[in-house]
Amino acid sequence: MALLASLALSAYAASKLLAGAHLINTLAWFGLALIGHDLVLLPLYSALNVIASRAVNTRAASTINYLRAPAAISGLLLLVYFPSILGLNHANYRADTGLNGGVYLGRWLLITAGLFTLAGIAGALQLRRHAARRGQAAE
Amino acid sequence: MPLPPPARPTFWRSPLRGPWLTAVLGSVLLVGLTIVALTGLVSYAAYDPRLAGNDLTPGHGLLGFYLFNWPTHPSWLYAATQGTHVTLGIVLVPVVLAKLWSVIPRLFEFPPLRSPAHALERLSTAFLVGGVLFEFATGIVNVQVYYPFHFSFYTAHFYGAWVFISAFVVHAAIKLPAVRRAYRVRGVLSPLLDDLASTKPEPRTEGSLVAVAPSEPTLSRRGLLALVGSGSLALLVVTVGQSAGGPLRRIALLAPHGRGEGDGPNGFQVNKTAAAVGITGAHTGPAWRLRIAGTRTRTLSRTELLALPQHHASLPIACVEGWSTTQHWSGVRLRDLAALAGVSEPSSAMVKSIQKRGVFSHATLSGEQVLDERSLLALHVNGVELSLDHGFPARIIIPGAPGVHQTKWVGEIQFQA
Repeated sequence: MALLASLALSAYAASKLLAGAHLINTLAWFGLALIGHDLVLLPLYSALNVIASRAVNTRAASTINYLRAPAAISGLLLLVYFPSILGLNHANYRADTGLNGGVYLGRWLLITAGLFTLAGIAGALQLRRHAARRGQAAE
Repeated sequence: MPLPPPARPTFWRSPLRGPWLTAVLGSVLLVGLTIVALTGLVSYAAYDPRLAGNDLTPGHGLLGFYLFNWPTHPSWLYAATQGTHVTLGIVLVPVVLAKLWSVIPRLFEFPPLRSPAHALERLSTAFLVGGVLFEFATGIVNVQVYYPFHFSFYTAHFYGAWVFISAFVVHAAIKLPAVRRAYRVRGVLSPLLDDLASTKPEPRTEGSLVAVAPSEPTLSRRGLLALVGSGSLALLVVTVGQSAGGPLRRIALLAPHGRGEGDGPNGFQVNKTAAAVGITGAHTGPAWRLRIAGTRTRTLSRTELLALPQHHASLPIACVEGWSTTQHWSGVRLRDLAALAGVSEPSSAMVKSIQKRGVFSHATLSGEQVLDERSLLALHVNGVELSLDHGFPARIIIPGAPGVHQTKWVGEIQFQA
Protein backbone atom coordinates (compact mmCIF):
# COMPACT_ATOMS: atom_id res chain seq x y z
CA MET A 1 0.00 0.00 0.00
CA ALA A 2 2.79 2.39 0.95
CA LEU A 3 4.57 1.42 -2.25
CA LEU A 4 1.49 2.22 -4.33
CA ALA A 5 0.99 5.55 -2.55
CA SER A 6 4.63 6.42 -3.12
CA LEU A 7 4.44 5.46 -6.79
CA ALA A 8 1.33 7.59 -7.18
CA LEU A 9 3.10 10.60 -5.66
CA SER A 10 6.20 9.97 -7.78
CA ALA A 11 4.04 9.72 -10.89
CA TYR A 12 2.19 12.93 -9.94
CA ALA A 13 5.48 14.80 -9.46
CA ALA A 14 6.83 13.25 -12.68
CA SER A 15 3.76 14.46 -14.55
CA LYS A 16 4.45 18.00 -13.25
CA LEU A 17 8.09 17.63 -14.23
CA LEU A 18 7.16 16.50 -17.72
CA ALA A 19 4.44 19.13 -18.10
CA GLY A 20 7.27 21.64 -18.60
CA ALA A 21 8.12 22.85 -22.07
CA HIS A 22 10.91 20.40 -22.84
CA LEU A 23 9.41 16.96 -22.22
CA ILE A 24 11.83 14.93 -24.32
CA ASN A 25 14.85 16.73 -22.89
CA THR A 26 13.69 16.21 -19.31
CA LEU A 27 12.90 12.55 -19.93
CA ALA A 28 16.25 12.09 -21.64
CA TRP A 29 18.05 13.57 -18.64
CA PHE A 30 16.21 11.27 -16.25
CA GLY A 31 17.07 8.24 -18.39
CA LEU A 32 20.61 9.40 -19.09
CA ALA A 33 21.26 9.85 -15.38
CA LEU A 34 20.37 6.19 -14.84
CA ILE A 35 22.14 4.79 -17.90
CA GLY A 36 25.09 7.15 -17.49
CA HIS A 37 25.76 5.83 -14.02
CA ASP A 38 24.70 2.17 -14.21
CA LEU A 39 25.95 1.34 -17.68
CA VAL A 40 28.79 3.82 -18.23
CA LEU A 41 30.35 5.25 -15.06
CA LEU A 42 30.24 2.13 -12.90
CA PRO A 43 31.54 -0.26 -15.62
CA LEU A 44 34.21 2.33 -16.50
CA TYR A 45 35.69 2.60 -13.02
CA SER A 46 35.32 -1.16 -12.46
CA ALA A 47 37.24 -1.83 -15.69
CA LEU A 48 39.95 0.69 -14.74
CA ASN A 49 40.26 -1.10 -11.41
CA VAL A 50 40.69 -4.49 -13.09
CA ILE A 51 43.27 -3.14 -15.56
CA ALA A 52 45.21 -1.42 -12.79
CA SER A 53 45.09 -4.53 -10.59
CA ARG A 54 46.59 -6.64 -13.40
CA ALA A 55 49.18 -4.03 -14.29
CA VAL A 56 50.46 -3.60 -10.74
CA ASN A 57 52.78 -6.50 -10.10
CA THR A 58 52.84 -6.74 -6.33
CA ARG A 59 53.78 -9.06 -3.58
CA ALA A 60 51.19 -7.58 -1.24
CA ALA A 61 47.64 -7.51 -2.65
CA SER A 62 46.90 -4.24 -0.86
CA THR A 63 49.59 -2.24 -2.73
CA ILE A 64 46.99 -1.46 -5.41
CA ASN A 65 45.25 0.77 -2.86
CA TYR A 66 48.06 3.32 -3.07
CA LEU A 67 46.96 3.79 -6.67
CA ARG A 68 43.24 3.35 -6.08
CA ALA A 69 42.88 5.98 -3.36
CA PRO A 70 44.41 9.00 -5.17
CA ALA A 71 42.76 7.96 -8.45
CA ALA A 72 39.36 7.64 -6.77
CA ILE A 73 39.58 11.00 -4.96
CA SER A 74 40.91 12.85 -7.99
CA GLY A 75 38.23 11.21 -10.13
CA LEU A 76 35.53 12.28 -7.67
CA LEU A 77 36.69 15.90 -7.76
CA LEU A 78 36.59 15.74 -11.57
CA LEU A 79 33.15 14.10 -11.57
CA VAL A 80 31.66 16.89 -9.44
CA TYR A 81 33.59 19.87 -10.81
CA PHE A 82 34.08 18.84 -14.48
CA PRO A 83 32.17 21.86 -15.88
CA SER A 84 34.62 24.21 -14.12
CA ILE A 85 37.73 22.07 -14.67
CA LEU A 86 37.08 21.39 -18.35
CA GLY A 87 35.88 24.96 -18.99
CA LEU A 88 32.38 23.99 -20.13
CA ASN A 89 30.91 26.81 -18.03
CA HIS A 90 33.50 29.48 -18.80
CA ALA A 91 31.36 31.74 -20.98
CA ASN A 92 28.49 31.79 -18.44
CA TYR A 93 30.90 32.00 -15.52
CA ARG A 94 32.76 34.99 -16.88
CA ALA A 95 29.56 36.82 -17.83
CA ASP A 96 27.91 36.14 -14.45
CA THR A 97 30.76 36.63 -12.01
CA GLY A 98 33.24 38.75 -13.96
CA LEU A 99 35.94 36.21 -13.11
CA ASN A 100 38.18 34.04 -15.28
CA GLY A 101 37.20 30.38 -14.83
CA GLY A 102 40.50 29.16 -16.25
CA VAL A 103 42.05 28.62 -12.81
CA TYR A 104 40.21 25.39 -12.04
CA LEU A 105 42.03 23.02 -14.41
CA GLY A 106 45.40 23.94 -12.92
CA ARG A 107 44.13 23.61 -9.37
CA TRP A 108 42.65 20.19 -10.04
CA LEU A 109 45.87 18.99 -11.68
CA LEU A 110 47.88 20.25 -8.69
CA ILE A 111 45.56 18.56 -6.22
CA THR A 112 45.78 15.35 -8.27
CA ALA A 113 49.57 15.53 -8.36
CA GLY A 114 49.62 16.11 -4.61
CA LEU A 115 47.36 13.12 -3.94
CA PHE A 116 49.46 10.74 -6.07
CA THR A 117 52.67 12.04 -4.49
CA LEU A 118 51.36 11.49 -0.97
CA ALA A 119 50.07 8.03 -1.87
CA GLY A 120 53.37 7.21 -3.59
CA ILE A 121 55.36 8.15 -0.49
CA ALA A 122 53.01 6.15 1.75
CA GLY A 123 53.21 3.18 -0.63
CA ALA A 124 57.01 3.29 -0.78
CA LEU A 125 57.23 3.35 3.03
CA GLN A 126 54.85 0.40 3.18
CA LEU A 127 56.96 -1.61 0.70
CA ARG A 128 60.13 -0.85 2.70
CA ARG A 129 58.48 -2.04 5.88
CA HIS A 130 57.46 -5.25 4.08
CA ALA A 131 60.99 -5.73 2.76
CA ALA A 132 62.49 -5.12 6.20
CA ARG A 133 60.13 -7.64 7.75
CA ARG A 134 61.00 -10.25 5.13
CA GLY A 135 64.69 -9.50 5.68
CA GLN A 136 64.31 -10.15 9.41
CA ALA A 137 62.38 -13.33 8.72
CA ALA A 138 65.18 -14.56 6.44
CA GLU A 139 67.95 -14.03 9.03
CA MET B 1 20.12 -19.53 -23.79
CA PRO B 2 23.05 -18.49 -21.57
CA LEU B 3 22.56 -15.35 -19.45
CA PRO B 4 24.58 -12.24 -20.37
CA PRO B 5 27.64 -11.98 -18.08
CA PRO B 6 26.33 -9.31 -15.62
CA ALA B 7 23.27 -11.46 -14.92
CA ARG B 8 25.36 -14.53 -14.05
CA PRO B 9 25.66 -15.10 -10.31
CA THR B 10 29.44 -15.54 -10.62
CA PHE B 11 30.04 -12.21 -12.46
CA TRP B 12 30.11 -9.90 -9.40
CA ARG B 13 33.10 -10.97 -7.33
CA SER B 14 33.84 -8.30 -4.75
CA PRO B 15 34.16 -9.99 -1.34
CA LEU B 16 33.01 -6.77 0.36
CA ARG B 17 29.48 -6.61 -1.06
CA GLY B 18 26.84 -7.75 1.39
CA PRO B 19 23.91 -6.65 3.54
CA TRP B 20 26.07 -5.07 6.26
CA LEU B 21 28.02 -2.81 3.88
CA THR B 22 24.84 -1.73 2.10
CA ALA B 23 23.14 -1.14 5.47
CA VAL B 24 25.97 1.15 6.65
CA LEU B 25 25.97 3.22 3.45
CA GLY B 26 22.17 3.29 3.48
CA SER B 27 22.13 4.52 7.09
CA VAL B 28 24.48 7.41 6.22
CA LEU B 29 22.28 8.34 3.26
CA LEU B 30 19.10 8.04 5.32
CA VAL B 31 20.36 10.84 7.57
CA GLY B 32 22.28 12.82 4.94
CA LEU B 33 19.75 12.81 2.11
CA THR B 34 16.94 13.60 4.56
CA ILE B 35 18.81 16.77 5.54
CA VAL B 36 19.50 17.63 1.89
CA ALA B 37 15.83 17.08 0.98
CA LEU B 38 14.50 19.12 3.92
CA THR B 39 16.87 22.06 3.37
CA GLY B 40 15.85 21.94 -0.31
CA LEU B 41 12.16 22.18 0.58
CA VAL B 42 13.00 24.97 3.02
CA SER B 43 14.61 26.85 0.15
CA TYR B 44 11.27 26.79 -1.65
CA ALA B 45 9.67 28.45 1.40
CA ALA B 46 12.51 30.99 1.57
CA TYR B 47 11.31 32.53 -1.70
CA ASP B 48 7.99 33.42 0.01
CA PRO B 49 6.09 31.84 -2.88
CA ARG B 50 2.70 33.12 -1.71
CA LEU B 51 3.75 36.69 -2.56
CA ALA B 52 3.08 38.02 -6.06
CA GLY B 53 5.57 36.91 -8.69
CA ASN B 54 7.85 34.99 -6.31
CA ASP B 55 6.78 31.44 -7.14
CA LEU B 56 8.95 29.93 -9.86
CA THR B 57 6.73 26.85 -10.15
CA PRO B 58 3.23 28.35 -10.31
CA GLY B 59 1.79 25.07 -11.67
CA HIS B 60 2.85 23.10 -8.60
CA GLY B 61 -0.62 21.87 -7.59
CA LEU B 62 -0.39 19.86 -4.36
CA LEU B 63 3.41 19.96 -4.22
CA GLY B 64 3.93 23.65 -3.54
CA PHE B 65 2.72 23.80 0.03
CA TYR B 66 4.70 25.77 2.55
CA LEU B 67 4.18 25.69 6.29
CA PHE B 68 5.49 29.05 7.43
CA ASN B 69 6.39 32.55 6.33
CA TRP B 70 10.13 32.98 5.92
CA PRO B 71 11.52 34.72 9.04
CA THR B 72 14.13 37.51 9.19
CA HIS B 73 15.87 36.06 12.27
CA PRO B 74 18.60 34.92 12.37
CA SER B 75 20.09 36.94 9.51
CA TRP B 76 22.26 33.98 8.44
CA LEU B 77 19.26 31.63 8.18
CA TYR B 78 19.28 31.14 4.41
CA ALA B 79 23.08 31.13 4.29
CA ALA B 80 22.98 28.20 6.73
CA THR B 81 20.13 26.20 5.18
CA GLN B 82 21.23 26.62 1.57
CA GLY B 83 24.93 26.26 2.38
CA THR B 84 24.02 22.95 4.04
CA HIS B 85 21.88 21.87 1.09
CA VAL B 86 24.60 22.43 -1.50
CA THR B 87 27.67 21.45 0.53
CA LEU B 88 26.16 18.33 2.08
CA GLY B 89 24.77 17.28 -1.31
CA ILE B 90 28.26 17.52 -2.84
CA VAL B 91 29.86 15.74 0.13
CA LEU B 92 27.39 12.84 -0.21
CA VAL B 93 28.35 12.13 -3.86
CA PRO B 94 30.88 9.40 -2.93
CA VAL B 95 28.41 7.81 -0.50
CA VAL B 96 25.71 7.67 -3.18
CA LEU B 97 28.19 6.14 -5.64
CA ALA B 98 29.36 3.57 -3.08
CA LYS B 99 25.77 2.68 -2.20
CA LEU B 100 24.90 2.13 -5.86
CA TRP B 101 28.09 0.08 -6.34
CA SER B 102 27.13 -2.08 -3.36
CA VAL B 103 23.78 -3.05 -4.92
CA ILE B 104 24.65 -3.07 -8.63
CA PRO B 105 24.15 -6.88 -9.01
CA ARG B 106 20.47 -6.22 -8.29
CA LEU B 107 20.15 -4.25 -11.54
CA PHE B 108 20.94 -7.37 -13.54
CA GLU B 109 19.06 -9.93 -11.41
CA PHE B 110 17.37 -12.72 -13.33
CA PRO B 111 14.51 -13.12 -13.97
CA PRO B 112 14.12 -9.32 -14.06
CA LEU B 113 10.50 -9.40 -12.89
CA ARG B 114 9.37 -12.20 -10.60
CA SER B 115 5.87 -11.01 -9.67
CA PRO B 116 3.64 -7.94 -9.94
CA ALA B 117 4.81 -6.80 -6.49
CA HIS B 118 8.44 -7.21 -7.55
CA ALA B 119 7.73 -5.23 -10.73
CA LEU B 120 6.27 -2.38 -8.65
CA GLU B 121 9.27 -2.41 -6.32
CA ARG B 122 11.65 -2.22 -9.29
CA LEU B 123 9.66 0.66 -10.77
CA SER B 124 9.93 2.42 -7.41
CA THR B 125 13.70 1.77 -7.42
CA ALA B 126 13.92 3.33 -10.90
CA PHE B 127 12.23 6.47 -9.52
CA LEU B 128 14.58 6.38 -6.51
CA VAL B 129 17.87 5.98 -8.39
CA GLY B 130 16.78 8.08 -11.37
CA GLY B 131 15.55 10.74 -8.94
CA VAL B 132 18.73 10.91 -6.85
CA LEU B 133 21.01 10.97 -9.92
CA PHE B 134 18.82 13.58 -11.67
CA GLU B 135 18.78 15.83 -8.60
CA PHE B 136 22.52 15.52 -8.03
CA ALA B 137 23.36 16.07 -11.70
CA THR B 138 21.14 19.13 -12.15
CA GLY B 139 22.15 20.62 -8.79
CA ILE B 140 25.87 20.13 -9.36
CA VAL B 141 25.90 21.70 -12.83
CA ASN B 142 23.64 24.55 -11.68
CA VAL B 143 26.03 25.67 -8.93
CA GLN B 144 28.68 25.92 -11.65
CA VAL B 145 26.36 27.97 -13.92
CA TYR B 146 26.59 25.24 -16.57
CA TYR B 147 23.29 24.50 -18.32
CA PRO B 148 23.57 21.61 -20.75
CA PHE B 149 19.76 21.11 -20.71
CA HIS B 150 16.79 22.94 -22.21
CA PHE B 151 14.43 22.86 -19.23
CA SER B 152 14.25 25.34 -16.36
CA PHE B 153 16.57 24.29 -13.53
CA TYR B 154 14.23 25.54 -10.79
CA THR B 155 11.20 23.69 -12.13
CA ALA B 156 13.03 20.45 -12.88
CA HIS B 157 14.98 20.36 -9.60
CA PHE B 158 11.80 21.06 -7.64
CA TYR B 159 9.59 18.40 -9.25
CA GLY B 160 12.50 15.97 -9.52
CA ALA B 161 12.89 16.34 -5.75
CA TRP B 162 9.32 15.13 -5.21
CA VAL B 163 9.86 12.14 -7.50
CA PHE B 164 12.90 11.27 -5.39
CA ILE B 165 11.39 12.03 -1.96
CA SER B 166 8.32 9.84 -2.42
CA ALA B 167 10.46 6.92 -3.60
CA PHE B 168 13.04 7.56 -0.84
CA VAL B 169 10.48 7.43 1.98
CA VAL B 170 9.00 4.13 0.88
CA HIS B 171 12.43 2.64 0.11
CA ALA B 172 13.61 3.49 3.64
CA ALA B 173 10.46 1.92 5.11
CA ILE B 174 10.76 -1.27 3.02
CA LYS B 175 14.48 -1.73 3.68
CA LEU B 176 14.51 -0.90 7.40
CA PRO B 177 13.99 -4.56 8.44
CA ALA B 178 16.91 -5.65 6.21
CA VAL B 179 19.14 -2.98 7.79
CA ARG B 180 18.19 -4.07 11.30
CA ARG B 181 18.78 -7.72 10.39
CA ALA B 182 22.24 -6.89 9.00
CA TYR B 183 23.17 -5.00 12.17
CA ARG B 184 21.78 -7.80 14.37
CA VAL B 185 23.68 -10.53 12.50
CA ARG B 186 26.99 -8.70 12.05
CA GLY B 187 26.90 -5.99 14.72
CA VAL B 188 26.73 -2.29 13.90
CA LEU B 189 30.43 -1.53 14.16
CA SER B 190 32.20 -4.86 14.76
CA PRO B 191 33.01 -5.50 11.05
CA LEU B 192 35.14 -2.33 11.29
CA LEU B 193 37.54 -4.22 13.59
CA ASP B 194 38.60 -6.54 10.74
CA ASP B 195 41.91 -5.72 9.09
CA LEU B 196 42.62 -6.96 5.57
CA ALA B 197 43.84 -10.37 6.70
CA SER B 198 40.62 -11.06 8.61
CA THR B 199 38.25 -9.61 5.98
CA LYS B 200 35.95 -12.39 4.84
CA PRO B 201 32.78 -12.28 2.72
CA GLU B 202 29.57 -11.83 4.74
CA PRO B 203 27.64 -15.08 5.33
CA ARG B 204 25.70 -15.82 2.16
CA THR B 205 22.00 -16.53 2.05
CA GLU B 206 19.96 -17.24 -1.07
CA GLY B 207 19.36 -14.07 -3.10
CA SER B 208 21.62 -11.88 -0.96
CA LEU B 209 24.18 -9.39 -2.28
CA VAL B 210 27.10 -11.55 -1.15
CA ALA B 211 29.17 -12.87 -4.08
CA VAL B 212 28.75 -16.53 -5.04
CA ALA B 213 32.38 -16.76 -6.09
CA PRO B 214 34.18 -13.97 -4.20
CA SER B 215 37.74 -12.99 -5.14
CA GLU B 216 40.49 -12.45 -2.56
CA PRO B 217 39.99 -9.13 -0.75
CA THR B 218 42.48 -6.33 -1.53
CA LEU B 219 40.76 -3.84 0.77
CA SER B 220 39.10 -4.25 4.17
CA ARG B 221 35.58 -2.97 4.79
CA ARG B 222 36.93 -0.21 7.00
CA GLY B 223 39.39 0.57 4.21
CA LEU B 224 36.55 0.95 1.71
CA LEU B 225 34.58 3.17 4.10
CA ALA B 226 37.73 5.21 4.78
CA LEU B 227 38.15 5.70 1.03
CA VAL B 228 34.54 6.86 0.69
CA GLY B 229 35.02 9.14 3.71
CA SER B 230 38.25 10.55 2.25
CA GLY B 231 36.40 11.36 -0.97
CA SER B 232 33.72 13.18 1.04
CA LEU B 233 36.37 15.01 3.06
CA ALA B 234 38.21 16.11 -0.09
CA LEU B 235 34.99 17.49 -1.59
CA LEU B 236 34.18 19.21 1.72
CA VAL B 237 37.60 20.88 1.90
CA VAL B 238 37.52 22.30 -1.64
CA THR B 239 33.89 23.45 -1.31
CA VAL B 240 32.79 24.51 2.17
CA GLY B 241 34.78 27.76 2.30
CA GLN B 242 32.45 29.46 -0.18
CA SER B 243 29.69 29.13 2.42
CA ALA B 244 31.52 29.08 5.75
CA GLY B 245 33.93 31.91 4.92
CA GLY B 246 36.89 32.85 7.12
CA PRO B 247 40.19 31.04 6.52
CA LEU B 248 38.32 28.14 4.86
CA ARG B 249 37.57 30.40 1.89
CA ARG B 250 41.25 30.25 0.90
CA ILE B 251 41.18 26.46 0.50
CA ALA B 252 37.84 26.33 -1.33
CA LEU B 253 39.94 25.66 -4.42
CA LEU B 254 37.27 24.21 -6.68
CA ALA B 255 34.19 26.02 -5.30
CA PRO B 256 32.65 28.20 -8.03
CA HIS B 257 32.30 31.19 -5.69
CA GLY B 258 35.32 30.67 -3.48
CA ARG B 259 36.84 34.00 -4.47
CA GLY B 260 35.73 37.54 -5.27
CA GLU B 261 36.92 40.07 -7.82
CA GLY B 262 39.71 41.46 -5.69
CA ASP B 263 40.69 42.90 -2.33
CA GLY B 264 38.84 46.24 -2.19
CA PRO B 265 35.65 47.05 -0.25
CA ASN B 266 33.67 45.93 -3.31
CA GLY B 267 35.89 42.90 -3.91
CA PHE B 268 33.45 40.28 -2.64
CA GLN B 269 31.60 37.77 -4.85
CA VAL B 270 29.21 38.85 -7.59
CA ASN B 271 26.32 36.61 -8.60
CA LYS B 272 25.38 38.51 -11.77
CA THR B 273 27.50 41.35 -13.13
CA ALA B 274 25.87 44.50 -14.49
CA ALA B 275 26.99 43.50 -17.99
CA ALA B 276 25.25 40.11 -17.67
CA VAL B 277 21.83 41.77 -17.22
CA GLY B 278 22.31 44.66 -19.65
CA ILE B 279 23.11 47.47 -17.19
CA THR B 280 25.60 50.16 -18.17
CA GLY B 281 26.69 53.44 -16.59
CA ALA B 282 24.11 55.21 -18.77
CA HIS B 283 21.26 53.64 -16.77
CA THR B 284 22.74 54.47 -13.39
CA GLY B 285 24.07 58.01 -13.93
CA PRO B 286 22.70 61.29 -12.52
CA ALA B 287 19.42 60.76 -14.38
CA TRP B 288 18.63 57.66 -12.27
CA ARG B 289 15.61 58.07 -9.99
CA LEU B 290 13.98 55.77 -7.44
CA ARG B 291 10.20 55.73 -7.65
CA ILE B 292 8.36 54.70 -4.50
CA ALA B 293 4.62 54.14 -4.56
CA GLY B 294 2.06 53.56 -1.81
CA THR B 295 -0.86 55.81 -1.01
CA ARG B 296 1.30 58.51 -2.58
CA THR B 297 4.13 58.43 -5.08
CA ARG B 298 7.56 59.98 -4.66
CA THR B 299 10.54 60.14 -6.97
CA LEU B 300 13.95 60.42 -5.34
CA SER B 301 17.43 61.06 -6.75
CA ARG B 302 20.46 59.43 -5.17
CA THR B 303 21.38 62.76 -3.54
CA GLU B 304 17.93 62.95 -1.96
CA LEU B 305 18.27 59.37 -0.71
CA LEU B 306 21.65 60.24 0.85
CA ALA B 307 20.01 63.17 2.65
CA LEU B 308 17.61 60.78 4.43
CA PRO B 309 18.72 59.15 7.74
CA GLN B 310 21.37 56.51 6.98
CA HIS B 311 21.54 53.23 8.92
CA HIS B 312 24.08 50.41 9.08
CA ALA B 313 23.72 46.62 9.05
CA SER B 314 26.11 43.67 8.73
CA LEU B 315 24.20 41.16 6.65
CA PRO B 316 25.02 38.24 4.35
CA ILE B 317 24.10 37.83 0.75
CA ALA B 318 23.35 34.11 0.47
CA CYS B 319 22.89 32.54 -2.93
CA VAL B 320 20.69 29.61 -3.91
CA GLU B 321 23.93 28.16 -5.32
CA GLY B 322 25.12 27.72 -1.74
CA TRP B 323 27.76 30.43 -1.31
CA SER B 324 27.43 33.39 1.00
CA THR B 325 29.39 36.41 2.18
CA THR B 326 28.66 38.88 4.98
CA GLN B 327 29.36 42.57 4.35
CA HIS B 328 28.76 45.87 6.11
CA TRP B 329 26.02 47.83 4.35
CA SER B 330 24.55 51.29 4.87
CA GLY B 331 21.60 53.12 3.38
CA VAL B 332 17.98 54.07 3.97
CA ARG B 333 15.69 51.81 6.00
CA LEU B 334 12.95 50.25 3.88
CA ARG B 335 10.38 51.11 6.55
CA ASP B 336 11.34 54.80 6.29
CA LEU B 337 10.73 54.62 2.53
CA ALA B 338 7.38 52.89 3.19
CA ALA B 339 6.39 55.74 5.52
CA LEU B 340 7.42 58.28 2.86
CA ALA B 341 5.09 56.48 0.44
CA GLY B 342 2.31 56.77 3.02
CA VAL B 343 2.19 53.08 4.03
CA SER B 344 3.61 52.77 7.53
CA GLU B 345 2.42 49.13 8.00
CA PRO B 346 2.93 47.51 4.57
CA SER B 347 1.78 43.91 4.04
CA SER B 348 4.27 43.49 1.20
CA ALA B 349 6.43 45.46 -1.22
CA MET B 350 7.27 44.73 -4.82
CA VAL B 351 10.80 45.75 -5.77
CA LYS B 352 11.67 46.23 -9.44
CA SER B 353 15.12 46.51 -10.89
CA ILE B 354 16.08 48.54 -13.93
CA GLN B 355 17.95 45.50 -15.23
CA LYS B 356 16.98 44.40 -18.72
CA ARG B 357 17.33 40.65 -18.39
CA GLY B 358 17.13 37.88 -15.80
CA VAL B 359 14.44 35.91 -13.95
CA PHE B 360 14.96 37.99 -10.82
CA SER B 361 14.45 41.53 -12.12
CA HIS B 362 11.70 41.84 -9.51
CA ALA B 363 10.84 40.31 -6.14
CA THR B 364 8.08 40.77 -3.58
CA LEU B 365 9.17 41.24 0.04
CA SER B 366 6.93 40.40 3.00
CA GLY B 367 5.73 43.04 5.47
CA GLU B 368 8.00 41.50 8.11
CA GLN B 369 11.01 41.91 5.81
CA VAL B 370 10.18 45.55 5.00
CA LEU B 371 9.61 46.51 8.63
CA ASP B 372 12.75 44.85 10.04
CA GLU B 373 15.08 47.61 11.23
CA ARG B 374 18.06 45.96 9.48
CA SER B 375 16.37 45.98 6.05
CA LEU B 376 17.96 48.64 3.88
CA LEU B 377 17.96 50.18 0.49
CA ALA B 378 21.77 50.09 0.56
CA LEU B 379 23.78 52.90 -1.04
CA HIS B 380 27.17 52.05 0.46
CA VAL B 381 29.06 48.88 1.33
CA ASN B 382 32.08 48.66 3.63
CA GLY B 383 32.25 52.47 3.79
CA VAL B 384 32.34 53.15 0.04
CA GLU B 385 29.77 53.55 -2.73
CA LEU B 386 28.37 50.33 -4.13
CA SER B 387 30.18 49.23 -7.28
CA LEU B 388 28.12 48.86 -10.45
CA ASP B 389 28.33 45.06 -10.19
CA HIS B 390 27.02 45.17 -6.62
CA GLY B 391 23.95 47.20 -7.59
CA PHE B 392 24.88 50.90 -7.81
CA PRO B 393 23.05 53.26 -7.38
CA ALA B 394 20.97 51.30 -4.81
CA ARG B 395 20.21 47.71 -3.86
CA ILE B 396 18.01 45.88 -1.39
CA ILE B 397 19.62 44.11 1.57
CA ILE B 398 17.34 42.21 3.96
CA PRO B 399 18.18 39.68 6.68
CA GLY B 400 17.79 35.94 6.21
CA ALA B 401 16.49 35.91 2.63
CA PRO B 402 17.85 34.36 -0.59
CA GLY B 403 20.29 36.56 -2.51
CA VAL B 404 18.04 36.77 -5.57
CA HIS B 405 15.52 38.70 -3.44
CA GLN B 406 18.21 41.26 -2.57
CA THR B 407 17.41 43.11 -5.79
CA LYS B 408 20.22 45.19 -7.33
CA TRP B 409 19.90 48.39 -9.44
CA VAL B 410 16.51 49.16 -7.84
CA GLY B 411 14.27 51.47 -9.91
CA GLU B 412 10.93 51.18 -8.15
CA ILE B 413 9.37 49.97 -4.89
CA GLN B 414 5.59 49.54 -4.60
CA PHE B 415 4.38 49.25 -1.00
CA GLN B 416 1.05 47.47 -0.46
CA ALA B 417 -0.99 48.35 2.62
